[in-house]
Amino acid sequence: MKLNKEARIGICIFLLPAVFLFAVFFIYPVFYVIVRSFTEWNGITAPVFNGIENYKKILSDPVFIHSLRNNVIWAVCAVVVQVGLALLMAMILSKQPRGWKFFRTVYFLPQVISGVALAAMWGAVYNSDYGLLNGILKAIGLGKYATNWLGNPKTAFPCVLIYGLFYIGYYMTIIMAGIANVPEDYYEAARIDGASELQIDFYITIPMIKSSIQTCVLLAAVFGLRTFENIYLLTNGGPANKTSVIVLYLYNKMRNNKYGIANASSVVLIMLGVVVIVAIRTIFAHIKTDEEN
Amino acid sequence: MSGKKQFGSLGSRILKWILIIFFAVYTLFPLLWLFVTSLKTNKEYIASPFSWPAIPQLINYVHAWTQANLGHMIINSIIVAFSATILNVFIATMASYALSRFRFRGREIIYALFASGIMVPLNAMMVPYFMTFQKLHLLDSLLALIILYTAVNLPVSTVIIRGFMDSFPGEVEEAAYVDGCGFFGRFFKIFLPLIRTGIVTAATFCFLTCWNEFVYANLLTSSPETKTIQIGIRYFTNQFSTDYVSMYAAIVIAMVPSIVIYMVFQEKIIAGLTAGAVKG
Amino acid sequence: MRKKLLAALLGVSMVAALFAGCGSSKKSSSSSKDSSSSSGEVDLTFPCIWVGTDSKAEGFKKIVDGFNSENEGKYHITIKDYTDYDAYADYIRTSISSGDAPDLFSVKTKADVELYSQSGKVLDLTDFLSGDDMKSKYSDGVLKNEQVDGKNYALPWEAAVVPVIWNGSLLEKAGITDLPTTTDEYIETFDKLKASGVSTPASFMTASNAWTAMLWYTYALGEKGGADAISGKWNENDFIDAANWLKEVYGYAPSDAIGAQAKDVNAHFFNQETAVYTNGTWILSNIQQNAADGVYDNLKFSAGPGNTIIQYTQAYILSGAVKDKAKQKAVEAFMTYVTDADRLTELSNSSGSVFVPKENTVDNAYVSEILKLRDSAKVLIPSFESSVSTTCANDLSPQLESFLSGSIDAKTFVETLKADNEE
Repeated sequence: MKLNKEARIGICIFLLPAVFLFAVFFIYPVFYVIVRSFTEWNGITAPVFNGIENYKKILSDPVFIHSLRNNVIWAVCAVVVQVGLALLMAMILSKQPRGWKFFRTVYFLPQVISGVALAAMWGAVYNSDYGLLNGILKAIGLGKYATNWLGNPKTAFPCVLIYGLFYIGYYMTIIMAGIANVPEDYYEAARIDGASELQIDFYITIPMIKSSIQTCVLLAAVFGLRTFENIYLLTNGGPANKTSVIVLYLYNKMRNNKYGIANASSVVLIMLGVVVIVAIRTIFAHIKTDEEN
Repeated sequence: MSGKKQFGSLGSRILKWILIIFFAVYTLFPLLWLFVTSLKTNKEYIASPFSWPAIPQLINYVHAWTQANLGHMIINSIIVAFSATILNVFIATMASYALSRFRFRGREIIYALFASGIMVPLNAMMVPYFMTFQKLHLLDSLLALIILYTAVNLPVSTVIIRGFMDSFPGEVEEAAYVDGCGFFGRFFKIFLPLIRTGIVTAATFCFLTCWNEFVYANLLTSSPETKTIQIGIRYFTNQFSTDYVSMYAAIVIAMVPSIVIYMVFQEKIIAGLTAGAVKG
Repeated sequence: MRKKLLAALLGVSMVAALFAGCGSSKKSSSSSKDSSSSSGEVDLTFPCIWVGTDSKAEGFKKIVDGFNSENEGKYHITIKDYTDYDAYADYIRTSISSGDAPDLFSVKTKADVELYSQSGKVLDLTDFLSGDDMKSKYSDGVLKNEQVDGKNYALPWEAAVVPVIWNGSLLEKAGITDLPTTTDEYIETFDKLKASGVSTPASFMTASNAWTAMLWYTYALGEKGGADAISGKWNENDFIDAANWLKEVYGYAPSDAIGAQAKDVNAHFFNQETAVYTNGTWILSNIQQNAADGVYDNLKFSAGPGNTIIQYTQAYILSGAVKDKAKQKAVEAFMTYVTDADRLTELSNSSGSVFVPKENTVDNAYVSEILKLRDSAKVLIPSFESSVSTTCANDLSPQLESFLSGSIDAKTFVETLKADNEE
């Protein structure tokens, strides 16, 4: 479709407010962060240029590398497990079984609860002394598996990661809205052709909500890479930095007044995000659906 | 509703209900815990985090409401979250339309830039954002929060709304072209109604993010007149101790408006689903 | 449709304008305050953490109100509430980084005082504090000790005095009458408590700032190296010995010690699952309110190993009023007011906190008992956290967790911390 003059002007007008706010609240501060990532800066006195020293430091810091690894695991699990479950439950609830409105709201509740409360509860569940999990294990005769879940270097990260994967309300909301947008005639045609429910799910619904799924995958991956609050509240990175993630790492560097290193970590994180976003868009662009052929 | 015929074999029906119930229990548990805990005394909570209160302490709610001045804070939060959400989805929808339905040079670059905004660790932006609002002379005003929330939620909203925009085949506007609709006509007459569900979805998330934001609410406001609900929740913590039960009561109070908003917003999407009730 | 859009746009811009209006009207109200300052009253803004549920909140408000009414028409302090301590620290750091320090604010470590004094945005109080009136309020050498490059940028205000706190009933049950005085005796006492049925006698936590563990470590260092064990040159062998003792204590701690937060440590002592605990005097009111029945009434106190008591300044008051002479006068008046011995004694009595400036005798029996322990202590040592660099203080928790779980040895543990401290 060639763009006429009206369209060209329209595009400019429509992009202008977003571009303006983006420039002020993202491009300018990120530029500020990039510049200062090449300096030694305590946040108070004048920054001193030190080249790529900060980047060398973080890339040779095992804590940073471990945090990065945790972020990648987090992003992959969120995409595969969380979005996968969200898709499954969205398909089920979209067929409007009894009480579906209630369940949909219920599934969304963890999104509404303050992170402070959620972390306090999960901390209590995992606690080795009075925790619910060990209590259950002991009650069903599996007491030998009881451990200090958040204090044991082997179990801490899986515990911090897993509980949130079953909170699917965010992605389920997006996918259900996508399903609501599928035009009815597609289903009618399929049904006239005698397609089974499963066939309809796989050959009509899923291709038709491809872009909703893409949105979820993209958000899940990116949220996984910048996850912070629940770890900060639950373990603050411990034990021995085993549950650290990049945003926590850079936040702690800020607390230590090492703004140069914190800023370099931000830059690495943003660059990683750009790569992931472009990769996801490219992959999805190559998944052709019938309708696009 | 055509509820009965949708379900397949007995086995798949059982599996389906196992899943539905599992997720319901899993997500209701924290809520139940929070509510029960908010009715305990601190002594009871410290003695055992998973017990029932001997006597339900409704007084915690009275404390939460009166001491922390939650009423005023909720009003501020509503003002901030609504204004920011409206502005945000308005701007994001316009940008998404331009980015989704037209091919022009630089389109993907602009989009990738926008989307990568989600990656920006906002915690690392305290100094630049603070300085921006200092220069604008907006420190300690609700307007600062409205502007900031509008802006920082743009990447997520744009990704969501563009995702919905993308899901419509090109025939949609070809038909409109025939009807003689231009750039603006197609936006208002065709796409706004079509992507209503997408806009509502983005608005839901934007609202909740605004509602739950604490770091910048704390950084950019300081007077009692400009404090928002998340600061109210933290009223019960201090350097050395926390009044947990009052804090949990405050959290429960703070949740109510956001649950209501979610249900009201989602009615819009339910409307879409109900229209297609026969579809599956 | 276009009309609808127009209406919507108008609506949005009206909303925006409304808030812009709010913003500017607020500003005009604050500028009216400025104009009242031309009529004489100097207004100081004090973003403050001694508000809300803080134990000093009520007493501190009384002091500020008293100051404001005594100086009506002359000076006025406006308190801005900040309850979350970490968020408060972020706010202070950000506003100084962005160019302005508040008229009055507080920090908790000398490392912060050093850092912020470099900004040039913190008022130099040296002349004011060396005046006879202020000088006489402090014990000899205290003010000098708090100097940065020969200057006082901060008013040392709240003190931390940290004894070892015991559950008297559990001691009695174990037949313990004499409290231990050396690191070895501590372990013997833990054994006795254990034999009497208290399976995890020692309080211990490693998460966040590793608070309780950090205090145990400080006592052990005090016993081995004396008052300047941490603030002076580090004797590596002392640090290693102390670390090994710390690991022994960990052996007597509840199973959640690694990764435990302050609330878990409190819970164990409050519920009588641990028998010994260590924290500053401010914890007393918390024990009174939240511990199991009888715990508070049967508390016993002792010095740590080597007759060591931990004592340091844990709140400094600073001022950002560097340019405004009138504000500086007000700051001085306020600092004079909040260091008055009678007012501080009253605040101690109501809150359990103690202060760096001299006070009269404190009513609270427990607090005065603890102060007596301090006065007779052989070693008065500042806490590890308050004596080392910020990086070192924040690295203690992860390094300690590595050490306790066996992935590094005591020597590596000490050397890592030493390197952090020298950074």
